[in-house]
Amino acid sequence: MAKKSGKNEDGLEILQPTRRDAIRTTIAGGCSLALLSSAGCTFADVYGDLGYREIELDLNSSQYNALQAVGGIAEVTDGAWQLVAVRSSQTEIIALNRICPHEQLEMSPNIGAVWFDDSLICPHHGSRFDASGQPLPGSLSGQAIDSYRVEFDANANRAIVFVGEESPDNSAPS
Amino acid sequence: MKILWICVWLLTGLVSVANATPRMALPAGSPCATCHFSPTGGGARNEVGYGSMGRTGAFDFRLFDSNQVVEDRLAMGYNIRIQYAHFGIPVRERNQSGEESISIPEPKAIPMQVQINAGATLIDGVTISGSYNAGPNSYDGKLCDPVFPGMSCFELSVQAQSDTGWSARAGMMQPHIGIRPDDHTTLLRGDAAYPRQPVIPPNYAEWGGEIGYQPKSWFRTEVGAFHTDNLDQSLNQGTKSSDLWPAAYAVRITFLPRITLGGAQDSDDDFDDFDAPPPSPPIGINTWLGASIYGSNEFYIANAFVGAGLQNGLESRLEASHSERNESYSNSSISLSTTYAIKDWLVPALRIERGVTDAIQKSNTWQFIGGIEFFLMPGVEIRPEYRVTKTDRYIFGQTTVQLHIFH
Repeated sequence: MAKKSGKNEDGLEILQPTRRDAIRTTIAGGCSLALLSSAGCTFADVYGDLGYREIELDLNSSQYNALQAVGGIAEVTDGAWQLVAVRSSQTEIIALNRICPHEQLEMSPNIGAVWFDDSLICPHHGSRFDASGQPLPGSLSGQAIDSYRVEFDANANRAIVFVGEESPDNSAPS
Repeated sequence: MKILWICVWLLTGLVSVANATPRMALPAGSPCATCHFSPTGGGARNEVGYGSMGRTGAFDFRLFDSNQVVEDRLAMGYNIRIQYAHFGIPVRERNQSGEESISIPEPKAIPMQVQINAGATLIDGVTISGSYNAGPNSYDGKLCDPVFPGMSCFELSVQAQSDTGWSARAGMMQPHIGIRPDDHTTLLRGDAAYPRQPVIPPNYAEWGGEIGYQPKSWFRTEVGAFHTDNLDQSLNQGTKSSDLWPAAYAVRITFLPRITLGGAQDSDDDFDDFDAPPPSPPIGINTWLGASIYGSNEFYIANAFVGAGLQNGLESRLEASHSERNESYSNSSISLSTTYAIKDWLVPALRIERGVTDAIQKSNTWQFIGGIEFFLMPGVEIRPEYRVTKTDRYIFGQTTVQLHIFH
């Protein structure tokens, strides 16, 4: 119980906490945290799989028409694959994993990820990755992101992104 | 199990040093300006606000008796929030042998908010208030360092209130958009396709002006005009998705009727019968009913809200929002939240939200958040929560803890 330490100017009792109050409160605070932590374990599931796919990008569609211009960037999602495709030049489209290894946050153009100065810039903390997915100096992430093989037919305005392991060659072009 | 019950008992029974202070006055019928200098809430607390929260704590160990730097003229304070959570999203990975697993981001503790604020009474009825929010790189000299696009690193506004019910304010401030939340992860201001990325970011503010009118205690309206610099940052960073005018409009209408049930006036008791038991006290229910719209050219966000609060500390709110960036990108969200103040320093809270983003691809997101607002001592709140986020791509449940130190 708090102890009385006198009266204030309004004549009301002033209660001062005792050492026992402090101990009780500290224990209670710790217990509340322990309760919540123990009651709620972390769990997660990601829908879809990472199987082999040939993802077709129709640059005439509203989903991928940003890739018609050099520097354009578009989100590509299929199963558990989460990529961005970038029109890096008139004749080339590249595809990169859009999950930044720094904090596993998304690098989507819909929330501010951009292709600038030949690098993909994470909108969250500014990490930068080159066309092969390697982190550039100054990035908070020291890890690279995966890159994927892309076949691009500029005349037909179509590209195919190859993801997954069943492909005979799904490594990025060197 | 025995340890668990001991903890529950300690938590609810033994911590007995507390003051009976009013809290959650807003959902129970009082405007934000009852406790804050700013009519939209947040930032510097006035004498009533400090008198309320400055005395709320399981352990009445006060570092400060007042936030008044100059008595009745200048108040100063701060808000520091340290958040411990897994900030990223789960990702499916495949190792070299072809086995798939789920990678969960490492939990981190970050200073989510470092704010200093002040409010001053210039003359009777005229106040000025402001706040400054430091960012992660402010200590390296980048004084204005917003974490989210469109976030403002400061607010500064002058408010004038007359006896006739008219009020006006001008400056860098947040427009009235539904109910200003104290959790920026709410889907009401977010995007169901990217739950971590708000449409209206925390500490959003624009240069502008607003006129308010409250002719009765149960009715209030605000009409304002604001610049759209930060809104443009929020909506159009990276890809241009919303064509905005240089100015935005904001309108909010709120009804705040108080309903009284039972009590002496409804009693048929014979007052000459001194042996009769005393009449039961009336039950007061403060309610909210309102709507707002904030927009500029292609973009608008419309909110509708209803809330009710009982004097015993139980309150519940339902809010819905709909925003459109352009003709092919819209968000609709609904949020139901309930809190119950077991003690003024111990408040379990529950929130359920659903958001739908209708764009090239439709996205559905659910959020379930249960937690406790635990005021350890005046100016120190610990908020452990359990959060489940379910999107079309993943489900993620985690415990988070926020330490909120304020004055």
